[in-house]
Amino acid sequence: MKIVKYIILSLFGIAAVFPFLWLLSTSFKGAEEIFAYPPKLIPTSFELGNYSGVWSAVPFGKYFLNSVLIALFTCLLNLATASLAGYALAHFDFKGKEFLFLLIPASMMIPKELIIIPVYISVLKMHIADTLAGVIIPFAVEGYAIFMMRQAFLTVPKELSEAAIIDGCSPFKLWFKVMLPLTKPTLGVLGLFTFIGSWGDFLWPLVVLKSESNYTLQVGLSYMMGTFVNNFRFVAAGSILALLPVLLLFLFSQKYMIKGLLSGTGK
Amino acid sequence: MSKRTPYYFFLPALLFLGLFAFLPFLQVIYFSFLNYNIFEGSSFVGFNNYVKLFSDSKFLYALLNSVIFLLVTPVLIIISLMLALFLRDTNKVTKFFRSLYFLPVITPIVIAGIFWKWIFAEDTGILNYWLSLVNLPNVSWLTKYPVNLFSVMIVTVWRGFGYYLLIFIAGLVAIPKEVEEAAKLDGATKFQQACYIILPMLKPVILLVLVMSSSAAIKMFTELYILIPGTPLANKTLVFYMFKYAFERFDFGYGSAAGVIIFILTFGFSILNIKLMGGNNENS
Amino acid sequence: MKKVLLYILPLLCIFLSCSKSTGKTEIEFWTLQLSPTFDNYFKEIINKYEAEHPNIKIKWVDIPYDAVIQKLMSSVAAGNPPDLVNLSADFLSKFSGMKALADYKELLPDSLLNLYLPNAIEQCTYNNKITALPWYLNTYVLFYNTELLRQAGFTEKDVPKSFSQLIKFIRLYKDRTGKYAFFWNIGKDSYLPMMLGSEGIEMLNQSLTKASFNSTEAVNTIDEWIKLYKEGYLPKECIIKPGSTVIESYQAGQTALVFTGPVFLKRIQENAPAVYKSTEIKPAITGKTGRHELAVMCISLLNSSTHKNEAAEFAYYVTNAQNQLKFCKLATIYPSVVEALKNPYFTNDDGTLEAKARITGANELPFAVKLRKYLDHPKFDLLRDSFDESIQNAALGKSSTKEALDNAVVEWNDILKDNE
Repeated sequence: MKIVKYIILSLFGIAAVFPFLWLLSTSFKGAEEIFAYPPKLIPTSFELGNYSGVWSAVPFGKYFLNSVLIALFTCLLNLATASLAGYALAHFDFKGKEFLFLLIPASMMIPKELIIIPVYISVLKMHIADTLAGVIIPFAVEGYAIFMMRQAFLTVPKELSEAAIIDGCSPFKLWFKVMLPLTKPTLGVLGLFTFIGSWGDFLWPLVVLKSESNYTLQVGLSYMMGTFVNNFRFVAAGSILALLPVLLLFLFSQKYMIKGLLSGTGK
Repeated sequence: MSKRTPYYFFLPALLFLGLFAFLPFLQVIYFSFLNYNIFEGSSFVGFNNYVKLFSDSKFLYALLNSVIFLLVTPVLIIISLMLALFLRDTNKVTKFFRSLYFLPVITPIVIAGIFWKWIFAEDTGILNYWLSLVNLPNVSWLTKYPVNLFSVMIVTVWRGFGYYLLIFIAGLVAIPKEVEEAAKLDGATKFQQACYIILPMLKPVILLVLVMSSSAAIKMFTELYILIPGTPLANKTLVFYMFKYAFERFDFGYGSAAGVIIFILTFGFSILNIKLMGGNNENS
Repeated sequence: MKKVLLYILPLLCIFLSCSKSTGKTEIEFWTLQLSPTFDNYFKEIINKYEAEHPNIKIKWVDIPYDAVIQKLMSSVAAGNPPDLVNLSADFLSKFSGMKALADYKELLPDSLLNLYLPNAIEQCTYNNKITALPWYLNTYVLFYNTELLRQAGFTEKDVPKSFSQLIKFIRLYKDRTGKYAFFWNIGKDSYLPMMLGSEGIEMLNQSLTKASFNSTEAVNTIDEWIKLYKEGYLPKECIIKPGSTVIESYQAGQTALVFTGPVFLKRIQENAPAVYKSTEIKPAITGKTGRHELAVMCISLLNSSTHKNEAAEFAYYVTNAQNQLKFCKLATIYPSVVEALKNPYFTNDDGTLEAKARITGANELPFAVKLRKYLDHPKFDLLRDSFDESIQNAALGKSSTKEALDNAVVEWNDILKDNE
């Protein structure tokens, strides 16, 4: 039985990792064929030239920083807002709760491409167009985050809140000091997802930004693939560089999630 | 605490969603009743756009395809849940596999597209090569409908299972160990434990994954755009239809109407699921 | 209250940009994916222009292809559109009939407008209005892989010059080697209309009211290609891959010929050095008329602009002979100004492959026209999609070539009926 389990795990593993390995090897390839078929995984020579090339071809460092700032603040906004709302939905009863709860999947179903134009008009009116704030604010808060946090808080007994409040504890302090830490694993996952979502966002930053100094990494990478510039090795190197923060965040958040688990759940 | 505290807690979320999701959507609904060319102006046409939509066979096919595409949801749930059960403990091996499965989530879609186009290539792709080894004929993975729709679904599942895996693991981990130990002591097999203890306790998480993955399935755009951009509109999904009319034909009112239909479809589907799984009750 | 401040203050402090009003006239100019290749070029010519026109400020925004329409529509809807937009001339007909684009005839003197290549200006003219200034041009050449040809027992003399020769070559090559000679898109962004145009077979009438590509001649010509596909002489993906992928098979060393612009030589050089080494150039394949396709990139002025005269002046500056010559030395593209084309840069062969490609293309320019007349109709995308689908249907055997084309003609006539 165990062998079957490991065979399944490995098959999925190969399918999962192969494109990434190909990307990695392409980013190191020198003057050899990169589109050869069948694809060659091991480069004949390890070249770092593609990495330095892409770093200087576009203002990679600046774009990187912009993406990091945007992603971090998006995370903050999303986590804070979602956990506040999720907690209220999970632990309190109030009029209109059902309706507000239904608003969440409703917000998830709205096709983003369609609302880009009205949102852009709002952003323009608020004078945050072509700024990092303009990229962050409109789409920072996402419905699924509230949903997730609500489900997480549901695993903590409601009675805990009720008891604490009867004892005179302020709800906000309760949320911040007690409830939130209990949902660390979910917070970790949500933080990771929000970061990835923001990091990989292409369309909205493209529509709202005009000044090159505000561009994000994804927008910058898209410039590496045009009629006049189409060095796929550079694209590969740039993609790997763009992947790294997310990968690191993934590994970090795993540790965080585990710590959250070990620190006890509701005891 | 006052009676109004929960409302205060909800307020920031409501503010953001209201201003940047619902308000724009209301505007889009308004646009759907217009004949709106952004470069020229608009005129009120009532339900005209909707009537046109439902009398266009391409739209109805796109609707069908979007519904077919919803099949990724159960597939994703099953695969992610199964893998989550395998990988719920935390040790070097599980951490390794979790990281591996996460790579498709962060692999840039363009790269994934190139890779999968190779695999599905009709004359030179790996899949057809394997088929030829067992004397089976070539499959037109990307050129024939409806096979190509399923090929895109495979890519969507590939991109998503590592993502939902994490959500399930987080959920599994929240299940108190005592409940499972009690079941074990009672003599339940691993399988029985899974079915009768774990699954019911995971209901809220399953519901979450269901809503997330089904909304993602309906809104799916990039995979299809990269893999089979050349297929006719009738073989594509609703989002493509909306996109084409709004942004390529400059018929923003008509595209908005399509978008409203997309919303009704997906929202309806979610509500159905939520009611079915009793999502508003706490789990016991 | 504290929570609110917690959210907003840091954001306000770091991210709000202060907009300074400089009192100058700002002209916003959008280009299509020219960065980073032309970054220095633009900085240079913009600085020069601003120095010569101290009360003008140019804001240059470069936009990746994929999002230009959404960005444009958002800006127009929001009321802050750019003044000038770089577009492909193929796209201009979409705007004809709308009052979206300004007429350069009203803004620039004829003496300036006459400096452009006549066939380039023609592609920018709709309803007698010059809706865009031609900028850089592209045309087609034939790349062929000498190594693959040699392996198949062919020499440079065997490289096809006409479409009928091409068809024969494709068959012979595969029969000899079992591999595909040629890839081009026939079922999406189909090249077949271009071929028909070069063969002198009209797809629709002059006044754009009736389609005619189901004539016996057209059906037979198209059927040759459908037969090639059905009999396995063309890669299966020819019917679904978009036009932008035409070079992929050649680049991967899988096919021996490719029909594309000389500007793509650089891509082959970077991504497939071995293929590049074996690559040679010949003039584009043509049909009975010997005509080549001309692709024009141009600069349009939006009617919403509040500084039309200044914008037109700047557009002329960008497209003048001097600047275009400088521009076209940075990539294998061609200027649209007659004087610039006369420059020896486009005739002197210094022995490099680039030079050969450049000269081959340059020689074709005077005879290059818009071969796909259907692009003149504002609903050209509907027409194109309908034709693409008919090819797919015929190629997949869902209907005979004649049936598929007949159906498409009916669709076309329907679409063309709604002509204003």
